[in-house]
Amino acid sequence: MNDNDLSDAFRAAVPPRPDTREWAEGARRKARRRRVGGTFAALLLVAAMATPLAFNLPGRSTVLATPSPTATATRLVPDICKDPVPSASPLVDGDLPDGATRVWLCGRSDTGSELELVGLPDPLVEGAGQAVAAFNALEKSEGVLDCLPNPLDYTVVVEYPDGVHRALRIAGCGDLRDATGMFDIFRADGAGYLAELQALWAAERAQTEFAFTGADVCDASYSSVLRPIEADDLARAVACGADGSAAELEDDLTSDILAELTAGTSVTGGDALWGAPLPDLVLLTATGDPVALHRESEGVYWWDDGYARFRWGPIDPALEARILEAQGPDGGPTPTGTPMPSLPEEPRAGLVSQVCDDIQSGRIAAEDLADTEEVPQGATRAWLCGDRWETFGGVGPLEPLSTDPDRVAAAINALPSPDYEACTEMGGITYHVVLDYPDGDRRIVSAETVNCEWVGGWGNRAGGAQLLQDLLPLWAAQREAAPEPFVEEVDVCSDTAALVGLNSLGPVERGSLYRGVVCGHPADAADGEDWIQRELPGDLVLAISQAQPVPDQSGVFTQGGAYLVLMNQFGDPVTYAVTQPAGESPQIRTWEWVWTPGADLMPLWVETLAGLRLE
Amino acid sequence: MDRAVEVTAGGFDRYVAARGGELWAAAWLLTGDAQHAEDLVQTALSKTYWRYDTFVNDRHFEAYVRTTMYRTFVSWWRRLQWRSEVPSDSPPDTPSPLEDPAPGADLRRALATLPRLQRTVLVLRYFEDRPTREVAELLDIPEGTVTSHVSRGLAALRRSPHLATPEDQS
Repeated sequence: MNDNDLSDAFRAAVPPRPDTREWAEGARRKARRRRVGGTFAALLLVAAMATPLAFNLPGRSTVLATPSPTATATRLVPDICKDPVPSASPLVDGDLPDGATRVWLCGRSDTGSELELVGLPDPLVEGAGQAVAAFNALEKSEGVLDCLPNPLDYTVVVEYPDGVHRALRIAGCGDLRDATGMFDIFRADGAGYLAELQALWAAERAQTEFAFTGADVCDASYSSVLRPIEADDLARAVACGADGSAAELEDDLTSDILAELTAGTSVTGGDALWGAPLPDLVLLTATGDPVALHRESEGVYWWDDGYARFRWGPIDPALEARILEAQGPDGGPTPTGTPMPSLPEEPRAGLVSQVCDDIQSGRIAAEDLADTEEVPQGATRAWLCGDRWETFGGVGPLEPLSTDPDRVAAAINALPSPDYEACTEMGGITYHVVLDYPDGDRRIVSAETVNCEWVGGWGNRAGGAQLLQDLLPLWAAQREAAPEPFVEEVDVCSDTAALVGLNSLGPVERGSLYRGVVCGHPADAADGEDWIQRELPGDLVLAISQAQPVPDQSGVFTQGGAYLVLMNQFGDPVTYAVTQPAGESPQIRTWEWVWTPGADLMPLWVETLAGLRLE
Repeated sequence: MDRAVEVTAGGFDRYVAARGGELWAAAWLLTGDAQHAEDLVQTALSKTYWRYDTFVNDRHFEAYVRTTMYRTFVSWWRRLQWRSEVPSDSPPDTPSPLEDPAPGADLRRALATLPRLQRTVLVLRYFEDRPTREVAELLDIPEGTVTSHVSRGLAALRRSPHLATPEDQS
């Protein structure tokens, strides 16, 4: 069967197309059900969790009155959900042990934007054992790390009587894994597990008559991991003041707001921009699932459920006036919806942004900050660059941090003053942070990760190693929230790359490698010394990413031979040497390990290297 | 397949009536089941519905719908009751049974043994006739990965007993 046969077979295989004239209405209904704002039928999982109070929209006077809940919570984010992973213990042989006392469903705050995903405010107690058993019953899988964003994003924390807690988190395409591990055993079907947890919570809440009674929900833009929240389940409304204060709205105003929202006629998709970090209005289900609304303009709001953004309005002007009044004399945390001024796009130089290349090539340099001088806020974007090539500088992310780049300045300004008694000036610069401001101003802050670890020049601040560890996750979160894979063809082979390698400032896991090239000089010196760059066949990239190399720190390789530059999906590079000991097959080698392709791939490997000089 | 059919703008309903069948055909090759194919198309349409008015014409919107459909299928369409898929680069050991004989059942059975990403890449390459670069962009994966999946997928199909010709078996 050749390729044409296959194309023909595909076309011949498909049965006659169905009549799709009625499908549009079905899709429209489904679209509305997916989003807050439709006149939804009660369905899906979230509906199963709603208490009867949530369906009392027209007569909202009993929202928190009857029956009196026997279990309540007042904070959207329980303490244990704030940062559960660092203190978590690993699973035991890939399973959650029995004997759990409580289970928490948590969200996450490092979403790459102002958005803070929240789970549930109350723990599962009676059903904790069932939650553990349900996880252990999930099918084990190898996990898939290379998928596109998925709408699942939650963490489960399981508490034990001895004070130990363990955590599960969503990985890649919707599998679950031990939150303390990176590439351990995965469990399939994170969506199905979430559904099971929701059912367990619903059953327990039905017994305890749980209600969320807190109103302190204006200090972040909260969204529930149980997205989408059904409009019919919303039961409360909280107005947010300019100072972040919160005021629960009267029942009649809440009813009017929710009635207009559930009418669904003015809800559309949209690409609103974050203008203010805090919301103007927060809607809540009776059990505390939040929807944070930001005012874009008078009578027009938008919200982000962590997967998409929606716009609501213009609403009735009289209703808007009542909301504004409830927010207080200073209104809400305006301005919102104001797009940040855009800066010209930064060109690239291979796998390095132009600004980083300028630094690494010495065309521009950092200026030292004066003692205790702070880096200004208000940057539009931030870049992370490696140092000059001569000092074996790494390669920073290709893209700037454009999601709340002020976090970079804040992180620098929060660093301690230096205490240089125990170190010398030796050590060298290791990376640079570049901040671009709307007026075209550019500040470059240098930092070292070794020795004195100074930041901003000698005498300003210290803590460069920790700063880098704090900054890299900002880029990671931005990529997770809005991935922009790097697919351009770039020239990476050069004398510099051969000398110092192209290696990312941050870690590039071998399992994340997506593509690569092989660089080498012509085998015959008579053919010149120009670099030859060849794309590494996909089979070899896959094999390298999945290989089990042999630990070997002998690290003997010369600078004149061939080398591989491999990249993950964002263009973060890592360089491996190609060596060929006498009488042996060509190997791939780092300072830590050596690996030789297996017999099945050896012909392809040899063909890939054909005509290149190996030393 | 005629991807060059001009679809004029005429509202979401008109678009779906005109092009829903072609979307379904691709979805059928992905899912191997008429009802699941309809579910997949409906899911993609419902996810893109709110954006319809932002596109200048239906052709641009269709590109967006198709992208959504393929990504939906690849990334999180995990109804395990459909079939016992293994989310890895290796084909499952045993294909799930597909009971009802239908036109093209052999190809359907053969495709059902492939991992989702591999199946998706093959459908894009050989049903939609998209070049490697376009497949890579649509699925946000490198071209090398596309090439690898095509290579492995074709090899698996050629080995598949569901597609073996009498000469292959002799």
